[in-house]
This record gives sequence, structure tokens and C-alpha cells, in this order.
Amino acid sequence: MKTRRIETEMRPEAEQLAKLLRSGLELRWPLRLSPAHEPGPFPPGGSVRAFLTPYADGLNHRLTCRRPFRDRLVRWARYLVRAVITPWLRVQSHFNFAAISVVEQLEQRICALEDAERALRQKIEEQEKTLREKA
Amino acid sequence: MHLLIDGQALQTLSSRQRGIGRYAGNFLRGLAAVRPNWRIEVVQNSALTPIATDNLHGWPVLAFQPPQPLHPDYHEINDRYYADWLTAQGADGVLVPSYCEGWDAILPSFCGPRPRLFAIVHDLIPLLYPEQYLPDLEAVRWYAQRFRQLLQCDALLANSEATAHDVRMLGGSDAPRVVNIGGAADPLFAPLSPGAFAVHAREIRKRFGLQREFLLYVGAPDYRKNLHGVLRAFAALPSRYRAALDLAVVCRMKPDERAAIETMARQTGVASALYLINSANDEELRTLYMTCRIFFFPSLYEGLGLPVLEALHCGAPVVTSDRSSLPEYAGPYSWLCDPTSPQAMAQALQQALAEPREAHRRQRQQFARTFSWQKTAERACAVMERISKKCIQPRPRRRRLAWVMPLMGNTHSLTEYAAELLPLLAEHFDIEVIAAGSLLHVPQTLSRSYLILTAREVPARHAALPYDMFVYQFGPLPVPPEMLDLLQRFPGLVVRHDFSAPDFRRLAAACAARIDRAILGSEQSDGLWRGFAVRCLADCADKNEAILSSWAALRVRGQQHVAARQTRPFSSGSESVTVL
Repeated sequence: MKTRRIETEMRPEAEQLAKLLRSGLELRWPLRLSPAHEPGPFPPGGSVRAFLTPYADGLNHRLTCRRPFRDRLVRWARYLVRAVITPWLRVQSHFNFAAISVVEQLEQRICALEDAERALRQKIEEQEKTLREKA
Repeated sequence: MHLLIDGQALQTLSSRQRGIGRYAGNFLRGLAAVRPNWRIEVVQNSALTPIATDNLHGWPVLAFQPPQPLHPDYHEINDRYYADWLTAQGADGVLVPSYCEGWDAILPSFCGPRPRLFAIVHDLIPLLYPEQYLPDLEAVRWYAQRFRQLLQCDALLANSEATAHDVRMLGGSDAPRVVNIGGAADPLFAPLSPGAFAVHAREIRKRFGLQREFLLYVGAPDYRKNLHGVLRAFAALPSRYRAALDLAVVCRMKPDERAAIETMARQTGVASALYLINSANDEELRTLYMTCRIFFFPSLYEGLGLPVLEALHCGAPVVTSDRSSLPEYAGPYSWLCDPTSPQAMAQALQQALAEPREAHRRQRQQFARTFSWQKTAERACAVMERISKKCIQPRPRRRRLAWVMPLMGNTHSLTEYAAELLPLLAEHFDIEVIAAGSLLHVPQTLSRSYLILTAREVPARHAALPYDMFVYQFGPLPVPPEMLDLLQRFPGLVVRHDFSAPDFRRLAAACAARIDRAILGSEQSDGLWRGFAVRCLADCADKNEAILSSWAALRVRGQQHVAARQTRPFSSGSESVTVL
């Protein structure tokens, strides 16, 4: 019957979210829904731009290699290949950013439509209520 | 001490009928008892249900009329206006008993000099379980706003050590001081006399159909209350226990939630022993606590966990979770278990069932009595007095610039220009780049050195860490509409560029001097507040000049009060100040 004092486990997600909220960057929080709320794997909830930007810029993507000796060759090969395909990467990156903007605009338009639908529903409900009261 | 208490925790639908409202009401009672000579006024939001008279203890009520309707669209203007209204009352301090209220409440959002601000923190549950409690962006935005407002306070009063620990961990390095003031059970839960108890117990058993011994759970259907865990733990008990026991669940549920629980009870094979009680008043609850064989409360997280204290007050054996504040309030005569493991919960229940109900009853009640509202209020008062005496100077910080520029595929010249100029300006200011344009393309030269924000992110960022000046870069190309929109909402300096081979060092020096002058002018004219006010009004559907003029008058009055307070010595108004 001993009382155990267990500190709250601070999940890294909580710390990350708290940091974003404190700094006013809450739109960068990639919403993670519980399985019960999960609508599907894509599109992700939250900011589309924050979700996609890390994958968009093929041209400036950092080529990292942590192991020192064996992978040096691999790293040089990567640099070489990237130098060769740079013109295509540039086009691809530009296309990626354009695509993000389009998706973002679509998302905004969907939000606006949903808002309009909500307002319309509310109006209908109010009118129904007024009619019922009159009746 | 002249203290204003925000009364909305006793008014909103989300708090007044729940634990937070109960906590606030009892806390005020304790405060009235321990500081009878303080000048206390309760602020009532006129747009909400009035505060019940028994919560007021004879204190005068100040009615605050929000300038705009209680709607998410107007929350910023209401919150900022409320802050200036509170400052204009000329009090020494403002106490907010609950900052995490919904959009129907108005919570002060201060800008500039203000009275000392204190708040009671009940928990940070949405931050700890965002998947469950922040399901969409609107919820995230709402909570972000409330969390930032909370961190504005001069001191935070936590209802448990667990809550204080969470605030220290998640509040960041600039978080205000957090002190655990604790809490207690409502005095209504004092045990009944044996004669009265016998009558009540008979009635209760008849009313709810509870003929056998039963385990009692009191909670809600939301995730952290772990009602599913309760059913699983009961199902995991050996059959000899289940044959002799029922499970009474006091929980207000919607029909679909009730149906889901009943389905789960059938699936786990406990349906025949399950008694769902939709609501019970305090009298009934007290009798249920006194009648139950065990009070079982395996919640995943509680800021305070009032039901545990209530059950202990009534002498019930308690089996609860080993998480959050529950070990603090369960005491040494309760059983703790892992709320995520049905086997561990069942094992703890068996241990509790192995002991006669009345063993350690007196010790449990004695432990519950160590918590009292007077002690809680005394701790809070000591903190408020100490902080009010302190002279808090704003920390010196570097001035912040929002560098607004179009960043698109065709703005290379402007980008290169910024890449040359910004490192020189960064010697004087902290700079963040606001990118405008429909096809954003952020070059690495900028993204490596500066935080790049989109126009949508600016209001929240500016509210969290205000910019001292917005500097708009206009090039030869057409200006993106987002940039014009920003300029309208956040007025600042506009730069028309001439790219003809400038000497960047000289240009940066001239630019920094001009920005310095602009910031000085803005500070002298209370520009940060004016910017917020203009933006709040711009967001209102019905712009109203009358609001702005009355608001400006309030602001001036408030600033005069703050200035006068700084010149006179602080008097706590109490005979002794307890040092914690």
C-alpha cells in the first residue's frame, strides 16, 4: 500500500507542441489524430505547406553521410549525380513548390466552402426556428 | 491589497458545473476566510449567466460588458479590451481562476504596463494529449492563444505538484513562477452520521438498483478518464470476485456514448454487473461514496482529481492510477496501479478487496482532512503578496523586425538584395522574413539564416513575440495581394528599392537609423497597442469608431493607474505575510 510518486512522463510531442505554441507557430503543428478520429493517411491535417516543404526542395536537399570512410565514395557519387541532374532538379523543385501552393489554395478554398456551408446551415436552422415559433 | 477576481469560471457552461467551477467557488470561500481585510471585487461577464450569490461572500460585483459578441471571430478584440478595462480599474492585482475557458469566455490579453496578474492552472491536458483534445486547427489555435495568455502571468498557482511540474516543463525558460497551492474536497462531502447514513443508503440502493456490494467509478466519457479501462479491469477480476460485485458508473453520457459503453460491456462480459448512472447530485454522490466497497478511479491524467479526495473524505477505500496528481491526493492508504494495464488494475482491486472496508477508514479521512481550502487560499495569498511587493522590470531584449518581401520564382533581384542587406541589419535587430506570394520559393541563402514565415502565420507570431516594426519591401514587380493585406493589418515602414549598385554597409546604416526612429516614434505613441487595436477592429465585421475612442480612454486611465501605483509603497492589507 505504498504511495509511489511518479513524475508525469513528458512526451516529446508535448514539448514540441508547447514550443510551437509559445512561439506563435502553431500552424506548423502537424495534426496527429487518435485512431478513433483518423480520417485516412492523406491529406494530412494541419498545414499542408509545413508538411510538404521538407520534401519539396530537391535542389537544396542536404546529402548527409555520417559514417566517415566507406561512405565517402557514396557521398561523392551523390554529389556528382546531383551536379549532372541539376537542371531537371531545378524544374522539379519549382514544380513541387507550385504544387504545394496549389494544394494550399485548394485547402483554403475547401475551408471557405465549409465555413459557408456552416453559415448556411445555421441560417436555415434559425429560419426553421422562427417559422416554428410563428406556427 | 486591492484584488480583482475574474468570475467567469463560475459563469461558463464548461466550468461552472464541473470541477473547475467547484474549485473556484471553494477557493473564493477560503480567500474570504483568510483575507477578510483585502479589498476584493469580482468581475462578472455581463454576456454570461450571472454568478450565484453564495459564491460572492459579500464582495462587490463589477460588470464587464464585452464590446463585441462572444464569438471566436471577435475573441481578440474582446480579450484585449478586457485587459485594458481591468487595468483601468486601478487594482493591485488580477486573479484569473481558470485560463483554459472556451470561446464563450473572455480572458485578458495585456499589452504594456498592467497590474500584477495571477492565474490558477488546473492542468495542461490538451498539450499532453493533443491527439485526443486538439483534433483540428481551430482547437490548436484556441489552445495556443490561451496557453500564451497563461504564460503572461506574473505567477501561476497550480492545483497540484504534478500540474506545477508540467507547467515548468512545458512553459519554457520564460515561464512565470509556478507554486503548488493544492486543493481540497468540497465541505459538502463530510461524512453523514450513522443514523442518517442508514436511511440514505437504503434509498440510494433502491433508487439505482444496487443490491450487492459494488465498485464505484465517477467520471466522464472522455479519453483520459479511462472508462474503457474500468470495464477491462473489472472483466479481468477473477470470477469469484465478479460473482459478488457490481460496477456502478456515475457518468453523464450522450446516447451514442452510452451505447458504445454498453456494447463494450457486453463484449467484455460485464454487462450484467454494470449499472450506468447518468447523473447523481452531491447528496447522492456522498451516499454512494459511503456505501461503495471500493472507489475505483484509474484516470490517465488528473490535474487534481477531486473525486479521489471526496471518496477519502467519505471513508471509501480508493484504488486509483499511479499517474499525474493522483498519488499526491490518494495518500498512503490507497492502492495505486498502472491505468493502462487491466491486469495491474485487477491486481490492485484484489489487494483492496482483501482488506476489510473499515480498516484504515479513520486514517483515510484524516489524510483527506490535511487538505483544506483555507490552506490553499493562504498559500495563494502569500504568493500574490510577495509578487505584488516585487518590482518587476521588463527584461531587455533585442528589437524584432518583420522583413516582409515577395518570395517567388521571379523575385531574384529582391532576394539577392535582401541576402546582402539583412546580415548587416542583423547586427542591430532580430530579423524574421515574412514571405508573400502565391508560388513561394524560398532560397537557401535566406532560409539558412532567418526564420521564414508565411502571411497566415504572422498574427499568431506577432501575438506571441511582438515585432517592433514591420518593414515592407516593394520591388519593381506587381505586389502580391497578401503583402497589401499585411500592410493594411500591420502598418509599418515601406521601402521602395533602387538596385543600382548600392554600398550595402552605408545603406544598412541609413536603414537601421530610419528603423530606429520609426520604432522610437511607435513606442512613444503606444504603437504596439495601437497596432493591435487597429487590427482587432479591422477583423470586426462592424467597424466601430466609438469602440476605439472608448478603448483609448480606458487605456489612458489604466496607464495612469499603473504609473501611480509604481510611486506608492505596496501595502498587503494583512497583518502577517506567510513566506512559503
